[in-house]
Amino acid sequence: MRQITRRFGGLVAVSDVSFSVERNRVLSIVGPNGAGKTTLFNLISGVIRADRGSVQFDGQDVTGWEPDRLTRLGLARTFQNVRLFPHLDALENVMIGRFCRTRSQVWDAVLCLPRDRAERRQSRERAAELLDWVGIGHSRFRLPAELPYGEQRRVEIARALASEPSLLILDEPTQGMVAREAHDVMHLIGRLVERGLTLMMVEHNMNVVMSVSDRIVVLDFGQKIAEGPPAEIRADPRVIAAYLGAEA
Amino acid sequence: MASFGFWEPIIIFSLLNLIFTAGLYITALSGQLSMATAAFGGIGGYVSAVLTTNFDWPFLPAIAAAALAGAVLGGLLAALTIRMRDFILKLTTLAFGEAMAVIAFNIPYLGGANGFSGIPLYTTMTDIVIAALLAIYIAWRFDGSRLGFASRAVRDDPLAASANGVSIRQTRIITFMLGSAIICAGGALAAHYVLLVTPSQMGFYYSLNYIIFLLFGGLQVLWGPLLASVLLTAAPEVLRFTSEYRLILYGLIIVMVVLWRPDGLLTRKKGEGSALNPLGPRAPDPLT
Repeated sequence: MRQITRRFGGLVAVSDVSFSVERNRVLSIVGPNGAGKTTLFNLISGVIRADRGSVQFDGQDVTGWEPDRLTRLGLARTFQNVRLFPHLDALENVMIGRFCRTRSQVWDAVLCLPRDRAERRQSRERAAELLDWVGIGHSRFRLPAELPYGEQRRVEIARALASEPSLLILDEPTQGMVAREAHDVMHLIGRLVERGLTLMMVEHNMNVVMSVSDRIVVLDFGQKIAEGPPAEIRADPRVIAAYLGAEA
Repeated sequence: MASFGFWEPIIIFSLLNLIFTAGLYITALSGQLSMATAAFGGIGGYVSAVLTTNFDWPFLPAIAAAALAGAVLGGLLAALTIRMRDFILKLTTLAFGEAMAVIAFNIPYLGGANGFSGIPLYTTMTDIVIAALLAIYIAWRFDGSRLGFASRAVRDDPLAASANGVSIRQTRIITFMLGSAIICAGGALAAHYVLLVTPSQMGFYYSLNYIIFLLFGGLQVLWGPLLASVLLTAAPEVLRFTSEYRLILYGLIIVMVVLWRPDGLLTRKKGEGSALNPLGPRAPDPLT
């Protein structure tokens, strides 16, 4: 696979931001509240459209694609406020992620054709494996509302993994978590990279960002003010200024 | 099949309503609460009535044609309303139903306001039972299928469903097509039992009945609305001994269920997985 590149521009919330992420690396996007981080993710994942600029994925121009088409291509995401399907249990939530990798149609289901039977079994098995992998296999028959927040996040990550992505976008994976839970998420991120995934994340917890990222992009008022490896970013006076409000 | 005397029409209408409700349940699975159920039923009735009466088609092909018409119109309506949500979507289906009734009203070939009559009596008790079982089977298989679950995901959260690879367009169109096909086939069966199709029976007042069945039974479990359709169709007849109070009692039953079980008669159990997913552990008794 070739280098993955993304370019942006246009929106007032996100203005002329360009960056790229390499395969099997972790790119973090940080910045003060309102800097445009989530907007940027929504642009990449097709939830909103860019006024200007383009997004490239795996050498292909995917600007303006619908989210479900991007998922089929290999881009999965989680949401800042966990968005699980409230009437489906954990396992069924993850099975939804299998939708774009299965093919059976109405007639397969109605006529009980082998494809439908095989896919139902396979989807269920894959979903169960993924729930075990994120460490909450015991909660597979629970509804989202019955799960603690940290477990809901894990279900969401398992659901995203079920679609077999090559790029996973995590929007504040440790939001609302205590230190120990955040540490568990850090560990999970490391295992995601071991799986061969490319990760992009927005994160406020600087411990997490500094320890897991290969590169960091800093946004402020919709513009990129710095980009580089963690050590460089930590020492960058512009970044410190943006966070502390001082003049550089 | 044996004669059921007084009960025969009650059983037949209960099962016809069950077929309509199964169709509406599927339509609603992806979040489109259609207010045009009676209109689709009327369209199915007209299609089959015209084909059998004026073109001497046999019964089965006429039903199939009605179902096909339902699938095409349902698919069109879904495609037109694809970007609509909630309230606007419901209003649009309502307007579609009323428009269909007005169109039927203004076509002299279909008998105008008097409706289309002279339809041959084909539908027997056996046909209705077979059709109802078939409708239940199709709805049940679809409900537990990958498309069924994807539809539920779209209903719960369209944005999250889309971001997880589910096409809102595909699920909305498929559920509307399949649901409308079932409703139109049911309408055809009804036409060959009642022997009359009129524009007035396509109106919202009649569609509302099916929405009551659906909400009364619960949106989450297929058996809820099906049970509700049979219970509530039979209820006014069973309550006949209370004479003028029967409709009050009918209303009271509905209000009580809404108060005590706001999510409907049957709901998915917590922590036990889906009662419907044939691969999941079954809830011992969905009647809780």
